[in-house]
Amino acid sequence: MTRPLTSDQAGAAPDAALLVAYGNGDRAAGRELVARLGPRALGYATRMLGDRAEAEDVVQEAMLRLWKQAPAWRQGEAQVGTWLYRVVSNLCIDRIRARRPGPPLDQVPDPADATPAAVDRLADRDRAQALETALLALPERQRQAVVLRHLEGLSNSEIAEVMDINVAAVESLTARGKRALARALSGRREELGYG
Amino acid sequence: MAERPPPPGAPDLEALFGAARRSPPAASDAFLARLAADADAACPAPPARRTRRILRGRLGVLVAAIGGWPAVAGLASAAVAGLWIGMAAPDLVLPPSVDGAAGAGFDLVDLMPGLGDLAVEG
Repeated sequence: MTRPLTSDQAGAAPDAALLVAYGNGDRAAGRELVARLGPRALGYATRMLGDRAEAEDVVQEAMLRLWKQAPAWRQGEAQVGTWLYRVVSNLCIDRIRARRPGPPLDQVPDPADATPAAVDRLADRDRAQALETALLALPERQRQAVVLRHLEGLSNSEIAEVMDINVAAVESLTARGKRALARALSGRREELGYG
Repeated sequence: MAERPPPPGAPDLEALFGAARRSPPAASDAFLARLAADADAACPAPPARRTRRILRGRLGVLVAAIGGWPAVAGLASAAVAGLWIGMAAPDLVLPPSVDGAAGAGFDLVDLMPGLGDLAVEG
């Protein structure tokens, strides 16, 4: 008989332990997982899709799949975070492929309000917005690798697991993605406040 | 894989990545509440708690001394079986002639039917 975790225990427990506890009927463990994984998954899905409402739908679907998986989850077989990134990735790619082709790189819109006075005051949010706009013009696999590596902070081996490819392929995708980003953003160094 | 130099005029990508990491898309409270409600709705029922019945009174003490209700059931079964064997045994081991047949007795030919023929033939 397992007892529900206290809030202190839940806060210190690894994700896999929380998921097993949830699978045994511990609702507090589920809420802790929502607090930990929900924002990360939403950030990733938003950067992949460029659409907040679609990203929320994707994350909600991915979390439902996680809850269904919980009773059969075995600790040590996979990391919960990596598993979730993988499901979110697949759902995002399904949606991207169902869309019409996106704009070419040279048609990516500039950030809002790029007057010199406003550019001088560009904050992180504006720079992030410029980057995310350029990211959306990348091919989906390059975008996925760059976002996971440089924005979500996953290691190359974790990304390889998420994308179901080898580490060398991850490095290649990341490098090509960064070169494409640099080309898309070339000439905007001063505009983005790095002049 | 060797990094190529960035194109002229390109902003520092690492600085842009850092800015994006510092301002991730924020999850609203309403969205997180929706996820939590989904989690609660999908949560499996906890395993049933085993309850041990507490025996009270003199009967409870007796039952506990024997070993609990399973032991009492075994003892009762043994008692009924013993009673049945005791009452039914005569029919099983004695020939029908015994019960109710006045003056009936056993002859040697009852036990060894070929003995009569052997005696006549010598």
